[in-house]
Amino acid sequence: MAVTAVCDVDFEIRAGQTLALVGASGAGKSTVARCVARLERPDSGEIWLDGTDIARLNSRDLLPIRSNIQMIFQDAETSMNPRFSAAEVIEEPLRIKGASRSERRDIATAVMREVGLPAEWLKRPVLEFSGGQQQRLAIARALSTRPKVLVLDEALSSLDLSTQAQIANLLLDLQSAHSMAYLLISHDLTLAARMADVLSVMSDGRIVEMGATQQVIADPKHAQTQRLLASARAAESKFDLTSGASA
Amino acid sequence: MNYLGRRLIRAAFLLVGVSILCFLFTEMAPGNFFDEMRLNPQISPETISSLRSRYGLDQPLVVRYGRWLKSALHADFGYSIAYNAPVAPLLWSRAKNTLLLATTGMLLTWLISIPLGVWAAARSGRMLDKGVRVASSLLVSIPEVVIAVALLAIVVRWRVLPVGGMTSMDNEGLSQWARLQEIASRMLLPTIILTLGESAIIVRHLRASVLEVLDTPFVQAARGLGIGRTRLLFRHVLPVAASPAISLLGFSLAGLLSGSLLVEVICGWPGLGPLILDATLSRDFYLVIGGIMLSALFMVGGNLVADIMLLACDPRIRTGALDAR
Amino acid sequence: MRAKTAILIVALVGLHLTLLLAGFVAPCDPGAQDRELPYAPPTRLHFVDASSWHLRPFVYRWNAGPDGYFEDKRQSFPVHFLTSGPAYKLLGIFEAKWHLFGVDEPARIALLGTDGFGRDEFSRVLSGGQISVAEGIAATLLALLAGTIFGIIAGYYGRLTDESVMGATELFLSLPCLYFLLGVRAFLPLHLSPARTFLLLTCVIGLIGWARPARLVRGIVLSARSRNYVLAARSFGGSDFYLMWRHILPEVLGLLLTQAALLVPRYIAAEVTLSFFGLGVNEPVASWGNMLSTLQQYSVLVSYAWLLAPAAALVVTSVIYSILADTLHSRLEFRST
Repeated sequence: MAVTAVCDVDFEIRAGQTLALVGASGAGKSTVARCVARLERPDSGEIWLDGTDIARLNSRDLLPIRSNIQMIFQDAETSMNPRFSAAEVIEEPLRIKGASRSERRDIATAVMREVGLPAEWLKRPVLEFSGGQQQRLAIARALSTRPKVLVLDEALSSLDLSTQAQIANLLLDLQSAHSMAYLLISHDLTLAARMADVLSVMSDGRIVEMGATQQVIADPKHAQTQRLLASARAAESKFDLTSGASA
Repeated sequence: MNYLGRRLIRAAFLLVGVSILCFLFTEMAPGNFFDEMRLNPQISPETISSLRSRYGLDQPLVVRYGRWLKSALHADFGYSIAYNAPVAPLLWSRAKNTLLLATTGMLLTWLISIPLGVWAAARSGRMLDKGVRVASSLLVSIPEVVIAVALLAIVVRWRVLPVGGMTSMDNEGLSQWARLQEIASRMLLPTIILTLGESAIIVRHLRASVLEVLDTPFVQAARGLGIGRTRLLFRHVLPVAASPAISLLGFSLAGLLSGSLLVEVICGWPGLGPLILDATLSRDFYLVIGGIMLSALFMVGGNLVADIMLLACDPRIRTGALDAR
Repeated sequence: MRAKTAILIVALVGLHLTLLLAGFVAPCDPGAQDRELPYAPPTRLHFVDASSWHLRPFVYRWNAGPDGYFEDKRQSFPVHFLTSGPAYKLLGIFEAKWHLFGVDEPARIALLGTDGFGRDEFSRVLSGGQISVAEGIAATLLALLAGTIFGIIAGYYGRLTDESVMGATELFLSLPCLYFLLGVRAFLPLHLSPARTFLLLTCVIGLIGWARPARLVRGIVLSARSRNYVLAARSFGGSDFYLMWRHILPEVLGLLLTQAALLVPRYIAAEVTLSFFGLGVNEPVASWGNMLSTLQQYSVLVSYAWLLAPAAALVVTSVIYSILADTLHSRLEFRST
């Protein structure tokens, strides 16, 4: 029995801007992310990138467009082949596009530096990196094709708080450096609030509220938004009360 | 019932598939079965023409196969040039001997393997276990051909047992009991060879299986209740460990059937083996196909029996809990 | 590296090297008959003679007598190492005359005795081993190649393709091995040139054995296919072929190695069995199988124990491969979790 995962979703992201999709689990956020990154094909609707509708292109036509949209997954470790070295992971999109070895190496070195990892570590196997470093590798991989759009599907959710802050800052720096548009998927309202220009709340496959972040937080109109805000505030204050140590 | 029904239909399909494969392969043979038949002086022209009409010998492959399939369903498996007789009775008289050998071998195998496997696992790491492991590993690595030839050499050299045929030449004048003894003594060598090879495999699997079960919480709990060692092993552990071992039964039978061909030829036991080998060497078309089909039938049948036993023992299959893939 | 692994590697390399250089290691031409020396027992090596103790071993000639063979002590023939002898083709290509050891004419050094035609059993075991082992390896390669291709296709494309391939494997796995092997062999020409026979045996044994590797490979492909990094690679635009080649195939390699170690001895045994029954490699080319077939006569089996040498060689080979398979299995098993 087919279930409509997502319906009537309509939004726009400008270059250098971040739109956050928040909501409870099962709200349909990941589905939207996968459609935008064209890991899945939407049954109906349009996705416009630079004047082209990519929603229903076949794989061959999609190929040149792929480098413009990249996705960062929640679990960095499983999104990279454990047998690969850092260099192989980063260079993979380039290799698929057919770049030469020297080109690949140059770009790999450059993006390693951009994400704050030493270029000498390129030779190391992926498993030798820590969780946060692996996420940086994933970002480096995404950057290698100079994408215009980055889809962050719960990309920071598995990281501990301090690493989360570091990666969030890295992402923001990269965004201003390269004018990338970010689609941030998160169940964590606090994080979304920190990173996003536009906040969009989803519930049961629909967008129930959308607007400039500060406005939505200051004046939530939908019940779901209010609920999310309330629990976020509760979590925050709990944290503050125990002054940094976990409860 | 549903499960069983499905398996039966599957088995039928498999057999049909095997027969098609056989016919396809035989197409590769140079020369014509029909021509060879005609050139054989021992077969009368009447026989040839009746066979021709019955089996469509000079017709294309599809027709021949169709006729064969139809006859097979009536238990008529064709005609043998070498023996100048219909195939089915030939096969059956020999098949009985093979079945005798294989079932005896199977019984003996399990009779030896179950206690050995269980004790080896129970005394894991100690002398008995080490001995069992080394012996079974060695036996598993040695090809059946070698075991057979080696044992035959020993038996013949030191005249330990009579070899060759099922009975001696003065069979007629002996009493029922003496005749049985004769058959048994001639069956001993082939059975031992089969058992050695097969038990090595079964013991290893059983031992691994029992070791696994010994580690589970329910066994620890039983131990805690103070249940005695032997009782624990045979009343509690074995039934659970047996489950994966039962699926081995099917493979076991398959291995025994294949192995028995070798053993029968080497020891001179008059079963399907020597019959099929001779048929192969003389390119006796229908006899070879009949032989392959019969052994395929045994194999598929054996697997089916194993499935039934598994169904009876492991409730998880009935509920389909294991079906999620 | 532990001692056990080191011994295994030495044994493996030693075995294959000896067989590869069979012409060099063997003192005689495996086909050279000597009608005056049928069924001679193994030549005894002596170090002590009437006068003194020698470092270099020597042999006596066998003479046929009323009670069997006896050593002719009138003349001793020292064993020479790295000597020239009957010509042979090294690796089938280069003409060569050097042998590891040998004795001068008219003596013969038959370390494992001679067969009914007076041919040196030792040399025949070596050259027969070339055929039998090469056959096993070739058939294994074929079975694994076919199994891998079908397994990858079934696991990767799923659904209908998977169902049909799995159905075919079930069919082939229900075949009674040896019976089918015999049957197929029966219907192909019985007397072919040695090269053709070799090819034929390889194809028959290998093509029947593709089913189990196919199943195992398919299992691995199924689990690998849904991994996130494969999804990610697809999102970069990776083609099916690229995904299979870069991400899935390496997972499969570990399994293939273990399977190879398991299958080679089995297929060598299959060739030996077929040749034993006269359905494989035929005289005058030696193979362990047709060498053992002379033992089907009880008189030969009982009187001339040294003719069991090919069986012993087969056992040694099988045991080495079996240990290899166990080692690979435990090594690779822990990696794949």
